[in-house]
Amino acid sequence: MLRNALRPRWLALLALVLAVCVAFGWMGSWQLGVARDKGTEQARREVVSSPRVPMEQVLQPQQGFPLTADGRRVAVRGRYDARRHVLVSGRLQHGVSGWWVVTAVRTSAGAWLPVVRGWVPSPDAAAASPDRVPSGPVRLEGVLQPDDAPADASAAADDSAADDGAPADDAASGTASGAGTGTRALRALDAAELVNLWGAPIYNGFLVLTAEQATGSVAPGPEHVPPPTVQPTGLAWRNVAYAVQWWVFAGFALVLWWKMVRQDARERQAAGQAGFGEDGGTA
Amino acid sequence: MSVSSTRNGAGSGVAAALRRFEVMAFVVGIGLLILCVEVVLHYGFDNDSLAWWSPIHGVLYLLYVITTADLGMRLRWSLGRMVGVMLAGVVPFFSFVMERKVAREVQVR
Repeated sequence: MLRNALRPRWLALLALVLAVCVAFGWMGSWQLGVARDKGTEQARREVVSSPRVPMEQVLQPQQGFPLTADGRRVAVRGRYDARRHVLVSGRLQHGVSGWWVVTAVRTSAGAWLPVVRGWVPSPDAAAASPDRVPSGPVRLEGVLQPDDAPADASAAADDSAADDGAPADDAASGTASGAGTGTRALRALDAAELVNLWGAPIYNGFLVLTAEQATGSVAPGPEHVPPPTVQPTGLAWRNVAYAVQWWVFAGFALVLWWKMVRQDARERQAAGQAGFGEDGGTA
Repeated sequence: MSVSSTRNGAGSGVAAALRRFEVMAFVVGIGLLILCVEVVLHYGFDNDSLAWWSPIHGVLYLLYVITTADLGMRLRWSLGRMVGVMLAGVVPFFSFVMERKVAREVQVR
């Protein structure tokens, strides 16, 4: 049978079948790529369009940041603590490198939540001052984000423009010269680092502020940071099905080739033993 | 059934294979019409309410291809013939025609 498969006719057909397999395999990979892209887009749209929920439903203090919290729109109540106030360097806003203004909120759960209140082009900007932090109870709305990955921190540190505004700042933390006494400047937003400055309990992850309700009159804070687009992974099952189908068809082409080789071999054998071809020997 | 008296000695096998082929040709023929509606809805009206059908139709078409190959092998069709009948399953209404043609042919044998 194997010898039969090596006949030029069958080899030529095998070459054709393999070419079909390569083409179908490629189509399958393409559909899998489409599935990934669509899945990511769907997941992003779902997260962004999912209704705003109270923060305690998606994120608890002193616990890992769940994937489902990434990009979730949440509302939280608490009080700002103007003494727990940091600036984070190397943050782009509309292509301009500047600083994030981050203030701790004592949530109703009694833990510190880092809130990105906005962006300033320079640490000396008035809006970066802790004086602009509302003092009474506040109700905040925003988008949850996980802590910066270490890679993000080093990428931010590589951004030389980030150092322009802060001559005094060196490695991970320093004091931004003009932003009031004791304002820390960080290169990354990370609960492991913030807990040393602010104390526990603290949330892993942070809130990018989109709206704020405070009592009394408050001087305008920094310009809000646009909620970042999240990159959750997901698959569009329909395109996964197409991908699988392309591959199954490719496999089927191979199976069909083999069956035809086998049938041909059987027929040759039957023709050899003239007259005894009960099954399939009618050629 | 005249098909059971074919010369191959595998007559009953052919009859069953023909039956499977006929069923799948019919199912794929109908499925393809649904798929056409889906395509029109999707591209013409931006309406994805039938989009769930396409992957299911893919599986049905695979079954059609398998039954075609099975029947074709039993009837010693040439590869070209086999592929031709398989491709008939992707032309709207043509699978019905092909099914009739194949059934008549098998019954004549």
